[in-house]
Amino acid sequence: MGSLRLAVLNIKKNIANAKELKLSFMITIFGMAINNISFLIIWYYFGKTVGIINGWKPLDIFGLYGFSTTAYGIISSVFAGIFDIPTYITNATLDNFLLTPKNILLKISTSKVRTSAFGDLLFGIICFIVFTVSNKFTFIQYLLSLLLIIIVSIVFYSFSLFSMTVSFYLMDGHNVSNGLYGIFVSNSIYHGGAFTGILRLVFIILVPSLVVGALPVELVKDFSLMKLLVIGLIAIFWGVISVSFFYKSLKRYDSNSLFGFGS
Amino acid sequence: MNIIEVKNLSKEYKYNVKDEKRGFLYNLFNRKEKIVKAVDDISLSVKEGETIAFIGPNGAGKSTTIKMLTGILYPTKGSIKICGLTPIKDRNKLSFKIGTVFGQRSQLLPNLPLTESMEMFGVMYDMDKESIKKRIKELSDLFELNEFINQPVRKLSLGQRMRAEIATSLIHSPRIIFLDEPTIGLDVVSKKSLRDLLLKINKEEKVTIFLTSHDTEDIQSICERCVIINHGKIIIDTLTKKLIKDYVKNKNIIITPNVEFIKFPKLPNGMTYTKKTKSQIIVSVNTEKINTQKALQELIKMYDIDDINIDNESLENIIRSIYEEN
Repeated sequence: MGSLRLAVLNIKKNIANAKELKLSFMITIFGMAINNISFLIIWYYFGKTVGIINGWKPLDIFGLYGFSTTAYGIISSVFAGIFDIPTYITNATLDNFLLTPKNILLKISTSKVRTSAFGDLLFGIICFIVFTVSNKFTFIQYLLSLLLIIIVSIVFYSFSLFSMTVSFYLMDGHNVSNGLYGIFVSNSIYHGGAFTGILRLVFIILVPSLVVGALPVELVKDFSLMKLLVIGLIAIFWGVISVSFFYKSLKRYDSNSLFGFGS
Repeated sequence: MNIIEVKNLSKEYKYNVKDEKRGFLYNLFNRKEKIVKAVDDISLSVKEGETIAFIGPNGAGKSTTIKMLTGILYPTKGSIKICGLTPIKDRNKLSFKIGTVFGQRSQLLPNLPLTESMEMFGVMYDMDKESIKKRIKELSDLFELNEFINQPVRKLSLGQRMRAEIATSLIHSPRIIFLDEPTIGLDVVSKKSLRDLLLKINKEEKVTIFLTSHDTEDIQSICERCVIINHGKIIIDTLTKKLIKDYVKNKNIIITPNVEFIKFPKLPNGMTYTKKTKSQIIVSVNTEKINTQKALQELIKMYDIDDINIDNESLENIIRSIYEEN
């Protein structure tokens, strides 16, 4: 309970810390939301021109962005500390987390807020509303969507943590971690109809990009218990893998005194 | 009672070395490992309330030792007990007993007032609201933080920030505080004020101080005991006063002339000029070769002297000569 109380306080203080610079806080949030809208417009017109691809209608792109960007917004805003793991390792700031009590992963995760991610969250929610209203969602579909956002956020957190943890093993961990994370994120906002056959399997199991975007859209439109089970199991799988990988890798941490080298 | 008990502690680092004679592909698949001993079989005990300077040249093994003592690094060999706990196993419990300050790294929230960071650390250490409030008040009075406690941390001067860092690290009333270069970058006034505060917390709160610093003034004014490490081994572990007494081999005799010095005759064995000007001469006397009284007599014979001063060698010079000898 102490760790959770601290995590909540950490998030509050970090938001307050970011809000102190009010103007940059607001510009970053709305700037990011506007940036995302431009992507959406491109995808929407692409869908409208091409028509239905593998069952995907142009308006489904709102659902894709709704799930993936909302999950991205939740994790990257209040749990942004995980994206700094490579930096914490390089400049040995991980020491600070090891020297204080409470759950280290929770402390690292909540050690930072990414202001721009609030813009993504705002954008994700707007997309989600457009998607649900245009598809005339029932109450059950709303409940299912809410459950899926939670599951999708878990997958998002887990794979991001896994990518960042890789940097414990490499000298240039930043590049590899960010590369892996980049593959995951960029594929999560690609048109769901583009993934078929083996490619679809790869991006469901090995790099769960489709689990945070395309699969939830397909599931709320056409419910199947099997699909829900698969998404749930993938969330559990990546959750267990990433957390145990993090704690195993933490033992390799050698707290170097390397700071200020390179860029 | 020993608050720190270290026995035969070692830490090895491994790194890959490439065979210069072979090509890229060979080295990619056939990497040889080299082992470096950063800390080599050290043993150390510290009593509760002691003030220890743990010093050594760069790369001597100071930081690695502190990181093992605080539970950051896994030792390769040996045992450590801090307040009866094994750091790496009982890291969480240990964190309630120790405080840490790394001079070049901040733990405070930059855009918020200092009270906010202190409150966050209080919650981290399971303190209730009332205890946090009371402790912030105590530390504000002790460290004279009241004038800037409500300012955003990023607007504090370096001296104020270091006071704030130390005060925050004491929020949970730890029994030991580890300080790594706490006065680095501070001006002389801020350094003096920080040293006085450290002595105050040692006396008033009985906090054991374990300090590393390259500033000999820190060592001389705060630490009663000095542990010197080089090449991963402890080479000296003694009282600071004794270190100065035992290692002072040279004394400096400073003489000023009645009119001015014109000639500088050759000095007897054991005496060397370190400064030769018309208005002042400084002679370094190796007391192992010639005693001070004899050296003075020689100088009086040679020069028409107006004033004489005798200085002991500085701690900085003593430590430098120890590093060079080892």
